[in-house]
Amino acid sequence: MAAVAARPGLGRRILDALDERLGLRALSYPVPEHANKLAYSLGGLAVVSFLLLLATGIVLAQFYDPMPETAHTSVRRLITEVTLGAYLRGFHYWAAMAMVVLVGLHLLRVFVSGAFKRPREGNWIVGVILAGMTALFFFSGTVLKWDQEALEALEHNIEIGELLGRLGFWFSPRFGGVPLLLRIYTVHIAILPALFFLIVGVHLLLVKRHGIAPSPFRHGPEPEPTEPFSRHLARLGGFALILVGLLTALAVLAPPGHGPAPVEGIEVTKPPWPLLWLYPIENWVGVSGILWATLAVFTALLVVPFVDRGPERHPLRRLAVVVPAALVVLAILALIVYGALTPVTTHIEG
Amino acid sequence: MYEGGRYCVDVLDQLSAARAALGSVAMLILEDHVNTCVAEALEGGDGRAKAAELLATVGRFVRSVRPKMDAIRARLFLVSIVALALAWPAGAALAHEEEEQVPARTLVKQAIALLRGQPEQVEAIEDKIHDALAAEDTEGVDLELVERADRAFEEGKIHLAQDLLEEAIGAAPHRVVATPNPEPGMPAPSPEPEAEPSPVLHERALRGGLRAPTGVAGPVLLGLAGLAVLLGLIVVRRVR
Repeated sequence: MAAVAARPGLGRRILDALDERLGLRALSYPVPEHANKLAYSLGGLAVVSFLLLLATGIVLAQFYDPMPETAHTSVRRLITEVTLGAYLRGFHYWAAMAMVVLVGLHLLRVFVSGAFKRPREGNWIVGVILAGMTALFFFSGTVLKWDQEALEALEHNIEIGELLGRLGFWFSPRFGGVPLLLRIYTVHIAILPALFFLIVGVHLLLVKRHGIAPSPFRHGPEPEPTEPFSRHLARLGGFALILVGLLTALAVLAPPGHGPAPVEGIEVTKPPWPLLWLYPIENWVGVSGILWATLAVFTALLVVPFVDRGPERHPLRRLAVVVPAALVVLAILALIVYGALTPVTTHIEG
Repeated sequence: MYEGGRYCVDVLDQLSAARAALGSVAMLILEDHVNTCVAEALEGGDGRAKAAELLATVGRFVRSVRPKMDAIRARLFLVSIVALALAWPAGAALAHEEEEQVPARTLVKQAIALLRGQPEQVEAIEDKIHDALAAEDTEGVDLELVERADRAFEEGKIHLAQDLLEEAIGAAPHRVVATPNPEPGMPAPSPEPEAEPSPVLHERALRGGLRAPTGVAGPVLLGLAGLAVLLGLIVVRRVR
């Protein structure tokens, strides 16, 4: 009897058995308390939205036909005829918006809290690459829906490819043996996801290697209490549930539209809002403005850890870097609003 | 005048006035012709032949004006290219390629897309319709319907114009043109007797934006969404 009483409970034994084989307890390594804040869960939530996009994308791919002649019809059919198709597409759309916003906010949080400083400069660059890939995901997804807006986005892509001269061969409709739309589809559903997983893996390993950056807002000499990382994961799960609920509600209450079948040689649409800040720039500079503005923003992001080098993390004591960055963010937001108000213009002559 | 040593701009002004005057004379004669000869022919029963003759005449008339316009445009185009290249050597020249002859079918499709997306761009739409009527390659386009669309558009009947244009390229053969589709809803899809695997041109945009949940699935999904948010809030409050 005594031997039986000493045995641990069933749940405990299952956990032990799993831990012995899968190493689950390794996840309960200590992390500082401030890592449990929402601001420090934005990157995790971006990964969650990526997984949601993956899941819904797998289902969408069963109904999407990536050939230019039939792509538009297949999207229409998904929306109007497939059971829950419109909701699924709406969820994918809103999850994409969420991922763009979350990646942007995560980047801002890391910048403001100075978390990119030595020795984390390398991981900042990995993160900027991931942000660039998020932009590519978003853009290629915009093209796939193959309505008027999609075709105009693709025409801009081709035009920018031509600006790059020989280097832009990849974006030429004459390169490769299949239609450009099909090649963009493979980028969206195979090439980008594979690379993204790989690079997110590197990103997370480096976070583990360096640990969570100390909070710049913490005072006092006593060391910060720690929490097991498994707790951070559980809290992230809570945030993820809220995210899933909000995305589902948006998919039902505010589904994305789908324009008429595309016609070449006219420009009558504007890009979706995350790309809208480029629209007025294109009005002023021409198509090349898109290329230069994008290059400028990403170059600026890449040089951040080499310009802002001192050990100081508090944003108010790094005003020389924080103020210009805030101005850039405000300018982009203002350009988005201006782009939404400005009338539609033709940039590419047929 | 020119040999008499007058200022070149004055001479040019006189010439363009003369050209415009010739154009209006032609318009007057055309109106007269329609009001008399064509009207009589219509009453007499042989309207078809007269209509064909009239169309051909108008076609010649339009073409006699068009090529010159194109030549002037091409010259303006060259001048602007040179100006751009001087002002901004990199990239700009690539943005414009030489203008090609666009087939009427493409122009009609563009006019339809403009009508659908930007009906307020009246001039651009008129240009596309007129270019389609003047195009050299008219394969796959019923020009008579395009002309009717042109008139309908001038009278402000936008939906009728759009339907006629779609009809003109065989994109909406099922539709009865007399009762244009007033709602931007989706007409029933129909088999299209076209050789070209055409995108479904008769489809209007599916609008996004806020709407009430419909059917059974909408409210059920909303309920599940609320449940997820609630559960999430509980977890977030408990695990700190």
